[in-house]
Amino acid sequence: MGVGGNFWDLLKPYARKEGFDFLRNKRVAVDLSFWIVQHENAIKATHVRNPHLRLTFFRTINLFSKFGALPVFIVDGTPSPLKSRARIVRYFRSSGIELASLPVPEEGVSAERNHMFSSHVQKCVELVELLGMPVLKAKGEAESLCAQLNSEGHVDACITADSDAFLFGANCIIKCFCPNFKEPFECYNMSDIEAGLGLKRKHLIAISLLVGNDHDIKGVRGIGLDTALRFVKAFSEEDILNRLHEIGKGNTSQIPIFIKFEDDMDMDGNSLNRKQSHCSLCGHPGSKKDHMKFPCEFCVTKADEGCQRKPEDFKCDCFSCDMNRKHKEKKRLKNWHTKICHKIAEEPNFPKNEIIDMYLCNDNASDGPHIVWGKPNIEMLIDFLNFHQHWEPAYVRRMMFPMMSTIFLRDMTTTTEETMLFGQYQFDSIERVKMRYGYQFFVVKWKHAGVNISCKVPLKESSVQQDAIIELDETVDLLDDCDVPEIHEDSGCRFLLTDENMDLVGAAFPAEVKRFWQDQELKRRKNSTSRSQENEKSPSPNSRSIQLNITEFYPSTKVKHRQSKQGGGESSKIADSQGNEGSKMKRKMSSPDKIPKSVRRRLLFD
Amino acid sequence: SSTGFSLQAMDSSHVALVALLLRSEGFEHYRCDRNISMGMNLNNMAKMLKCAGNDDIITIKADDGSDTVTFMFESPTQDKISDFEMKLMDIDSEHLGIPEAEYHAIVKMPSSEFARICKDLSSIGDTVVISVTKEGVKFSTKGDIGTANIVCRQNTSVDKPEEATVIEMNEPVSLTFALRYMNSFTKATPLSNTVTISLSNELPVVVEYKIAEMGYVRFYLAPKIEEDEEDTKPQV
Repeated sequence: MGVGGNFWDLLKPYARKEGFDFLRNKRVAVDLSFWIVQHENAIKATHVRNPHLRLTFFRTINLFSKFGALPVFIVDGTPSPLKSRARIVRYFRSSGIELASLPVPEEGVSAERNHMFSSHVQKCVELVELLGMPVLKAKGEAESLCAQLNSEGHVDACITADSDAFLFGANCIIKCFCPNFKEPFECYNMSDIEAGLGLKRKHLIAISLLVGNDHDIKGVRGIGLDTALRFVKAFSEEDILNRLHEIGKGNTSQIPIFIKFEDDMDMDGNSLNRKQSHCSLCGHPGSKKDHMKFPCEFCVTKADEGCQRKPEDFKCDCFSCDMNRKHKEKKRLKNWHTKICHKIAEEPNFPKNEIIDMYLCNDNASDGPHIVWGKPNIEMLIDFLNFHQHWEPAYVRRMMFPMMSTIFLRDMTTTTEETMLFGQYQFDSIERVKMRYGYQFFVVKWKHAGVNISCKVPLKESSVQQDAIIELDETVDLLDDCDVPEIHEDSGCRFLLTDENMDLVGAAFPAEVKRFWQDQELKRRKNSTSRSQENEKSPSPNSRSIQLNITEFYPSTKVKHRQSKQGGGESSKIADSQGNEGSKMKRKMSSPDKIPKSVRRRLLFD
Repeated sequence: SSTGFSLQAMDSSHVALVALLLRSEGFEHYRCDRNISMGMNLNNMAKMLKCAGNDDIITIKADDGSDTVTFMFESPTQDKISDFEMKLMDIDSEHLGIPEAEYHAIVKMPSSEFARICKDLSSIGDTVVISVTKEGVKFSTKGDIGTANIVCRQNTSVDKPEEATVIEMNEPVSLTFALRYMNSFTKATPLSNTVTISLSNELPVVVEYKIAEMGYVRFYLAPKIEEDEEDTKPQV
């Protein structure tokens, strides 16, 4: 929960959307309880065996292999007595039980969390340790240790949605962490908050005391986030907590220094103000009688006229009046502060030193920070997951392959020994470049070193069968998409394909990367050559169609026309004689060359 | 004929056909005692008609059995009279009978828009697929550099009737035509504001431009058949 009110909304303008590569090579502190609660809320509807174990497993592998982060897991310790009481109050409030029947635990006694939750945390701790991740236990809240590690430089960021972490001293919080990266990381930096809001760590602690927090839900009555923000900003960071102490003791004369300082100046101005009398006609200093005769210096009029009458909304801008207005403003501000101080003073036992000490404590670890990332214990991990999740060893090895390949590539950057991955696989080649989340990855090919043909077939069948069993047993979770390496069979050898970070592969096998790019360049040149040839050879794709002929649709009417001609000839013998006369006349005038055609037409009519 | 002056012409490859009709009512003076069919070389006819002024009165005369046709041009003030006599051709009459057909789809649209579509598509490919569905009429082409699709939806809500696109469809139609002929057809755009495109599956398309109240010019174009039968089915 963290700070009460809409604290995250207050910080919203300073959120940064970070890209996929933000976590690469960063040490991040993870609040394990937050993950477990998040898991169970997300998968409450579906029936999955031990969701907290399954999702912790896949999330850790994703965080380590895909995002390239170095996680440090933080476990909650014993909660403070105040937090226990606050949690009980919260439970009663949400369940609707009458508040009067609230049991009051003994002072100083803290209630443990419920047994099932503790058991889940314990199992996840065991799993995470088998994966080789460091696990630290906090004295109190996990985010307090996350924040301490962040401020001391042991980790680069905290993954938590609890705004308390800033009060505990964190510098960088990743609030929204989506494992399949459908949304970018929502990241908050303390430096942005200081620059934008003008709030430092102790300011935030003061705000939480006033508004409410995990340990004191109600805070001060009548003070919300806006009021608290305005009040707290008036004091410096070093001074704010001491002032709250003084106010809590009943000393309501605690006024911010700049108001008091200007108040002293106002005293002089105020005494000066009393000497000045103002004319009722024009509103300027002076007397009305004098201004009737001679214009005052403020009214710019001719010498022979008196002062002008002042307008209705006139405000005198002489020095004393200006000081008077400032004095009133300061007085109003002082009254507001006094009212706030009274509200604070009315709160019993405010502020609680336990809460302040808790926030400012720099010793949150049960023991000294010991952060080392080791190698996963594969055999014990297989036994653990076989017992709790009923997973087959082959399945566990396959799921672990991306993590092991990442560790292998990291080791290759420091050592020159040619070691085997899982004792079986070795680096073969770079298959291709792959785009994921807008970033480029190398698809790396891992070759199975053993040439034992007899054990190959049973292993493959077992793997395929295992996948079928898993799909029947578990629903596909959308929170974490798993990077399952592809199995590739080629001429008797067995290969696995994984997506690896380009920089990591470049650091581990620089010669291979160089060779890969050269091959790519060669392929590209060859491809462009073949494409240009293809362009020359290929005819237009539209030439495949066959053009039809118009005469196939509309038949010729030649025969019909001839018949109509003959019919016309028969029915017009009288007109024919007239035509003959016309022809005779024309025959005399026309040249001899045309006679045969005309005669032929005439004969055709006959 | 007694009903009017009609003309029919076909290209040398027998792919396209044009039919022109000028009704008798459109002429100031029209007389035809008997049906005559005359073969004319259109190039020569164009040369003759070019000698007329824009505002001249044209009289076309032909005698029965004669092998010439006379074009007479009079200036509006009748102070200049020209007399041109053109020789006729002896064409073995290949007059094509065009039956009146009912079409699956009739698209009426602005002629300038149709001309623009044919011009744009011919820069991409040399074949156009005209598909008419209830959504509208789609003109598609495909070439070496890519593909192009132009969809015209029905819009009868415009203020001017000649700017409307009206689609009557009994049945979806999809036909393929050579764009070269389509572009030649669009040279008739100045004759009319609107163009009417009539389509039936597996029949020639009719692109019709009306000539005021006088008549029309109709272009008939035989479709293309795709060699692959599989391509034809999805288009329908």
